[in-house]
Amino acid sequence: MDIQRFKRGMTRGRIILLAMVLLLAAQGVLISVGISYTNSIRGSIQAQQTDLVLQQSDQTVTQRLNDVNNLLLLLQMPDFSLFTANYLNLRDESVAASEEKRLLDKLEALHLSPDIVDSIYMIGENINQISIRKASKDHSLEVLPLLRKDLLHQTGLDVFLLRNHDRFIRYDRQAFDEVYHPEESKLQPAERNEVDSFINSLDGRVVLVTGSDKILTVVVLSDLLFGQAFPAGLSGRMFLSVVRDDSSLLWSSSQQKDVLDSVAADDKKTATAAGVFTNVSSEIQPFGIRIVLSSLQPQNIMDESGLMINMLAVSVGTLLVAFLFSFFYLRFVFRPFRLISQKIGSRHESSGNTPVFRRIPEKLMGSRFHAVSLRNKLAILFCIALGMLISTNGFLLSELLTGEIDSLITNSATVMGECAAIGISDQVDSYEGLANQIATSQQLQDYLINNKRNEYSPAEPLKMFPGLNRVSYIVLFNKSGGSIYSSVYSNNDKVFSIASMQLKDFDEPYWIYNYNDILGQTSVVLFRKINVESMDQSVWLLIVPKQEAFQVAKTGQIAATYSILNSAGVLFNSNEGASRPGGAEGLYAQKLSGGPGWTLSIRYSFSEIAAMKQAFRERFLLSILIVFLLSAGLALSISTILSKPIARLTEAMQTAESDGAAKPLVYDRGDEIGGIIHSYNRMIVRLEDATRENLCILEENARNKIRENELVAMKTRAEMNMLQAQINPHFLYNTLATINMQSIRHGDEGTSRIVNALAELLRYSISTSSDIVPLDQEIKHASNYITIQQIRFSNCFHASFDVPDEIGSLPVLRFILQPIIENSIKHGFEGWETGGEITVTARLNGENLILSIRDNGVGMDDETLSGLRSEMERDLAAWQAGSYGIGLKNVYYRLKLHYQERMNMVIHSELMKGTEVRMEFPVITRAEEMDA
Amino acid sequence: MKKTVVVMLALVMLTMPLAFSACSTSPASAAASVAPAASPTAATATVLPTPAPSPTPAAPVTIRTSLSEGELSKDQIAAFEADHPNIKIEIEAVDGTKLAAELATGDAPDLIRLSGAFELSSYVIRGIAMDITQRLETSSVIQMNDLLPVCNVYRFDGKTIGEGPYYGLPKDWSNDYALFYNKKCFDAAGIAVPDPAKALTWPEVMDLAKKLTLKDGDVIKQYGLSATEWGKTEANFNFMLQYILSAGGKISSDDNTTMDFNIPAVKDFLNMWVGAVKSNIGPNTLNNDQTSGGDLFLANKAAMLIDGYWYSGVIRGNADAKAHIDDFGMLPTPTAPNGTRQAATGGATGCIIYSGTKHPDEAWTFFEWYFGGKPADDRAATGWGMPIFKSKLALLPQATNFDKQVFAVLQDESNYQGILPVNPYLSGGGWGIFDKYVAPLYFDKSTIDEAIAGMTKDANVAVTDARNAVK
Repeated sequence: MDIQRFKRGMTRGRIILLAMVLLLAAQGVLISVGISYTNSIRGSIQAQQTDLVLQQSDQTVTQRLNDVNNLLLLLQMPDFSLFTANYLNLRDESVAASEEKRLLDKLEALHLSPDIVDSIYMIGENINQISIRKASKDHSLEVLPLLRKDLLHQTGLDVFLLRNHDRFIRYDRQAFDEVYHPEESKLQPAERNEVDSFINSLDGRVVLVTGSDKILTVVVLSDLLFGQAFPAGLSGRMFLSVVRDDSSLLWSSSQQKDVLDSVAADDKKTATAAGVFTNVSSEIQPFGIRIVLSSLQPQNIMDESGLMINMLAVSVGTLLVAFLFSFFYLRFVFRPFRLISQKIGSRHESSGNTPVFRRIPEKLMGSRFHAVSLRNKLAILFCIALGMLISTNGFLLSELLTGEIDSLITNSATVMGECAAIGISDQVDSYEGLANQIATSQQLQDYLINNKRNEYSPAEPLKMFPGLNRVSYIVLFNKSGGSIYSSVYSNNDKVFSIASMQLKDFDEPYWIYNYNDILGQTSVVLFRKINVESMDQSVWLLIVPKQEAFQVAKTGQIAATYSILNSAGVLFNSNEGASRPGGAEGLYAQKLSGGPGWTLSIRYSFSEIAAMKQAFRERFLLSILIVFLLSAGLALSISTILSKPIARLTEAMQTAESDGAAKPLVYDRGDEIGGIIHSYNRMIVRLEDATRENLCILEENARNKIRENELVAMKTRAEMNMLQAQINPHFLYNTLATINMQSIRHGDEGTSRIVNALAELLRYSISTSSDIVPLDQEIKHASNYITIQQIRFSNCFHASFDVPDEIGSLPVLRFILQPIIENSIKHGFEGWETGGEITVTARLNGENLILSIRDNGVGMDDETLSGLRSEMERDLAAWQAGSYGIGLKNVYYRLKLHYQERMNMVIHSELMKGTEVRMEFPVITRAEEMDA
Repeated sequence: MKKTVVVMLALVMLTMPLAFSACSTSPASAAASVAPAASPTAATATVLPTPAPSPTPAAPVTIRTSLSEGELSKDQIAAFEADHPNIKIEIEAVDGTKLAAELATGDAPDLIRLSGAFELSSYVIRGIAMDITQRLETSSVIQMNDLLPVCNVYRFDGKTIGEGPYYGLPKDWSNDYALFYNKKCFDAAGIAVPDPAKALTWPEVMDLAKKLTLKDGDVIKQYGLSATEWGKTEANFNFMLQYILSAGGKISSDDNTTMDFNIPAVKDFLNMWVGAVKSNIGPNTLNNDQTSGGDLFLANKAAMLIDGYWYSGVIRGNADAKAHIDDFGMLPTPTAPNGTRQAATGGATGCIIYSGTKHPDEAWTFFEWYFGGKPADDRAATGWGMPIFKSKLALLPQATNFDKQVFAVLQDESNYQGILPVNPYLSGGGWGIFDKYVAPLYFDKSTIDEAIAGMTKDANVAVTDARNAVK
């Protein structure tokens, strides 16, 4: 039973399996399309982000290096360098002290950040000069009693350091050890201590050295110089390294040896335990430095467990829903099959040997749904249900992946934004630093004091000032806002006059946001008050940064729309006027640390990503469409496959109906249709059995009927016998014999003949002896009848008998000639007055006796003849006595009843030519008759 | 039948991702293709047509020189390369440290620029300079008998500069310790310009400078002497060498292994200069005037300037000075008291051929052309330095009175071309030692004997170190 049920569920199971396979495959397609696109988009984002971060880092690092380089240039200017070249050790202590203070003030006024410059060494040539060290974090000068250029020369260190003069370099202890051998040098212990201390402070640090005969200037940089140029939060995923063109590493945000090695070796890729890092680099030309950005290659997105789990959840959920839906839906769809199958099946099982067929109600499944064809139901399943599931699934997957991409973009924007924020902050610091540096310029002070150019060096006071290449122009204002110097249009000072309210009594640089520059543009500019020494007055320095000063880096692939707000929330720098680029967008907004408290907002637009996202979406939709079409195709083919056996079954049933012969169907699968077909086949087998049984019963019934009829006949005979007994035919016969005697007496011969014939007729008719008589007797009876009729009809016909003597005694059924002769007379000669001929012939044909009654009467037309023949062919039971041929039919049926299939009766008739009735039956003796 | 459908379907489904993945890679590959598209241009821009190492005659040889672009113009290079298609000339800027590094790896320029007076012997000792004597003797461009005696600074026999083989030639030279005068300042002081036909002694120069120094109260209106065009009016090591040369002193042992400054000439020289500095005859450390001597001289704020013939070119080129150029003139190189006239050169900048050159013949071809060919004529005509050939002296400017005056003194000076007594092991190292011990003298923080002792000590240390380094 279970197996049957299972088998019956096979089709459903297969459809469910097919649906699952379809769904699984669709999911495979969607997921792989999704993963492939997401990976590709992520790769693209990463590459573009790397590009932009590299560019931004390049800007930032270049800016920082430029600032440091400018500082070095500044320190070489006489304002600073003279201190170590002016024999201060030979001069009065008070002079030296005041010069020291002057230098300290100047250095302090530079506001050197300890994050950029760790310390500065200004080393004099020999013992006549002063050497100092200034640490950025300390507000004092450290005078170095012994460290001098000639001392370093003795150790070879000056040549060693100057070998890389004006270039950023990092020395480690090993490098120093190669040149510096204190035990071999003739240094005094105190000298050695100072040299050691000097080396220690340089060890492992990035330094910038420059020198002349008189002075050696060493700028020792802070590790944060580069560290701050790169967002700290990227550690692990992205490293920035700064490498010299001789492949020595200056700095790296990475501590991983394999990353550092590959960066130094200029490899493009580094495989580490954490993954593969891709290195891209950018040259910072003037310094012989390249920065290398090592970014962790994104793993396959599937490796990210969160997404993986979510996608799996969606997939499994979809599969589960699809499974449950198809299971129950198909159960519902196949319910009629199951019911039919069950109903067919249950009948032959429940009623023993005799099948009891009841009609299966035509409204077996009353609902409207089942009015829908199987094809459409499957179409609903595959196209609509599965299609919707796949669409939903696709939508969910798409959302997941899009969400992933969006989060990537957001992360990317944060990374890039942080880099940009550092860049902008650096610009602010750099301009403020420049303002501070200019404020310390002795040349400027001299210019301000004399209010004219130095007579021996007629160059403009600030023309060669390091870092001025980054400004659009500078202007000096007096306290009433009048211009007293400008780097451009110096012959037309009035164009620069500004409202004195913009000149504030701040000691620090300050920013003004609504300054109208000479090109009529509103710019953000920097002011710094400069106190003019020995004149007790102040002037204000205006620095107008170049247009591109506060730009955010962008690439061909990533557009950056940014705006900068000052601390009051007023927008002062933006490129938002530019047409807003389309594309996937990531936002960044952050208040910049330090400086004037600006807020930077950037909208990064990934143009290519938007196109890829679009392509992804389209591909997704296309996949869904293809799956949808496949579902439709599948629904069609499945329904065709399912419909075929049903159609065959229906056809077989219809054929069975018309032919009355049902044939079993060959169908070897054990599905629902198989169930029905099997049930049908079993039913046919049962039906055939039943039909065979019925035929037997019918035969039995017929035999019973004959017996019954025979009983009836016997009964009739008995009744007749009883009547005969009552009427006493002998009385009638005797009476007729008396009439005959009377007639003879009266000479009425004609009457005598009639009466005699009638009496013989009567005697033959009432004879009870047997139904079987010798042929002679039957001939005699016919002859008597003819005699009477000849008299009745005035001898309008003539009759002759051709019966050989030897067959006269053969037994025949009674009353088989007279009715036929009666027909000939009644119908054949109707209306005739003369000329009728009746010939009765008897012949023996083997064991059969052939009797022929032929007349030359009017005969029968074809219609009458065929009607008669067909009437004779009719079932005995259905025989009804018609108007024509009652006698003939009576004879026929009696012969049939008696001889059954062994008799034959043929009627030949032609219009106006006559009719012949010919009968053939076996000669049966009385004994044989009794046996039968 | 149904199974076939399932299999077919599965196959279709399985191939779909392949098809999609193939499609989906296109955006990424498009992005990636940007880089390769850009790189060929970058590559073509950076790849230099380096000569093939195979000795095919068509491949030109590149000769590198550390001459500056001001000394060897692009036009000159183009002209040379046009005449010598097998040689390419490349200028390579090197400083001392870079040159040292290149020498260490044997990759120094083929023609190394140097100061003949101070550096030649040092380069020879270190084996860097190629002996070109034989090439000079057989040269058709350079006639040895036409060379001025100044070329001897490029000869060194291991002990004495000026003797032995030739290792190079100066491109030009000057009598670097001669005097220029500004007549305006002389006029301002009411003093007559000395006779240019006669060399003053250095003490006479100092006395004259004192007289020419004019003060308005404490404010100096005019200095008497600018010692150099770039610096202060103070003594330096080179001045001392010229003084010793003139005085006939000797500070190095014969084999140059030891030095001793304790000679009368040095004492006299130092005494003279300490007095001069204390007298504020020019901008110096004591008065802390940072104005350069040249600026003062050209601005009529210094009456005299110690400098060579080449400075006449500066005077000719200065707009302010040009306006009254006839006020300027040259005086012969002063002598030590009772000393000989020694119009020595303190520079004689020129070239040696690097002994490690891979193309000595081509290097020589270029050397010959640069020092004896058209560039030599071009240089002489500018008046920025004297030619090294007697035959080319006539090419010097002689158009104006100034030209003529300077040329006349120069012709006289060329008769007294001694060679500074440079110790090959000390080379240019004397400046630092000198400054270290002499500056305290100006502040009375030391004595002359102490200074001489200190200089002698440090110089011997340096000489010993240098000798050890060469060994």
